[in-house]
Amino acid sequence: MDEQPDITERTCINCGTKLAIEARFCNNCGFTQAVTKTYDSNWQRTLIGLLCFFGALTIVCLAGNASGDRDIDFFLLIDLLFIVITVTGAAIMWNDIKPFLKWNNFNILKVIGYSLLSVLLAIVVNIIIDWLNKSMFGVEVYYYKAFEHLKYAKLITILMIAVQPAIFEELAFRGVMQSGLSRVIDSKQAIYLTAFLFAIIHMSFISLFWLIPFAILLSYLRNKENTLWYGVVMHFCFNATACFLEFFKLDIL
Amino acid sequence: MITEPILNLPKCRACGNAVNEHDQFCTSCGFPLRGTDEEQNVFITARHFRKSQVQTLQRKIKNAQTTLFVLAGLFSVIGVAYYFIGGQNDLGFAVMITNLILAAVFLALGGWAKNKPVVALISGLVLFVLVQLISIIEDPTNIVRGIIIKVLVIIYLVKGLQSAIEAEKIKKEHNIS
Repeated sequence: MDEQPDITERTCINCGTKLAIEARFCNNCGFTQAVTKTYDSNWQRTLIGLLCFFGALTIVCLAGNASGDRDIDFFLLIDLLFIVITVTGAAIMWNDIKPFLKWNNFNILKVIGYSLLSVLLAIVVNIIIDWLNKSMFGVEVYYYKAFEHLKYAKLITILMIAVQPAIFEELAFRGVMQSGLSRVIDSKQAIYLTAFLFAIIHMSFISLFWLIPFAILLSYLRNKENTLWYGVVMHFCFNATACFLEFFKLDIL
Repeated sequence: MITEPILNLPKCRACGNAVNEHDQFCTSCGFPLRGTDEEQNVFITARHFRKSQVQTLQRKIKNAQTTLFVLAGLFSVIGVAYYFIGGQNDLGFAVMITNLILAAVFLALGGWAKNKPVVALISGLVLFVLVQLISIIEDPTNIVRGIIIKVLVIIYLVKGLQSAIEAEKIKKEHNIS
């Protein structure tokens, strides 16, 4: 995180002379001021760690996507693996993530606004996806089909499609990934990279057209509001809307 | 804010920025204003060297950028060909659309690589590897298909990425644009 210090003067990191805010070198000792605390001295280790983290998540998602038979046990196993990897990553990055788990400046109007926005987005995206699926594959795809034979099928659908991803995908990407990347690259670039990685891990290249913008929005909000929770709320609303639209189409609402 | 004294201020010999008379070092590039001739010359030589270093790195970044454009071209050509040669069915259409979206993403990343090479190249590399993984899972023989091109793409992208990280570091530490 490279929060701009709002002081107009600072001191040289080498000799302590007072410096103008825009000085890149000390006018007294010539020491470079570019080696800021925002750049992790262990950046290679951070990068390799993030790569392993992302690789593990990718393998899990690939496995979840590749398998033909999809019963509840399989989904649970995939979700469990995803959660284990995410929590491990979060534990390692705990100091970086902790501030974002707080919900300072809780604002109910914002919550409602963001929720409505994601409901609206979900409806628009669903209409487009339905149209694409019908016109391209001649089929309609329902998550619910995997759970419909179960007791409390709707509740399970909501839990698996809306609740779990909202919490753990947010923790994995807006939490671990974005915090880790912010150590290595500047926060604006971290927003885009996190969003991109988040989008492609969904393994649906056709969906990239809406996943990337939605992910950029979530990553941007995380930085703007300094909390993961608005993202969690938006993610939940988005996915829950998709679920309810399915129930509606299947006439089981 | 007073801006007029800038006109009277001496300029740094290395970077041309205005400097204060009593400064020991230029605050913009670290040039030893009060140093001996030798110190100053060493500094200027080192700065020139770093500039040419950055230029070399930028060539590699450019190659990686071209690779992204080539990928965009390849994906769109293969997608369109798949649809029109392989019988114009639903599956072909889906493959074509998928390929075209991927091509658009690579094109965008290529364009973006000019301003933000690090992020654009990481994104391109990850996306490319992921596409390959998915195609290998679908049909394991895909691993050998076009292996030379695939390896070349990965080499160019990785080299470009390394150069981009290095260049960014040099630029940041020495304020070279």
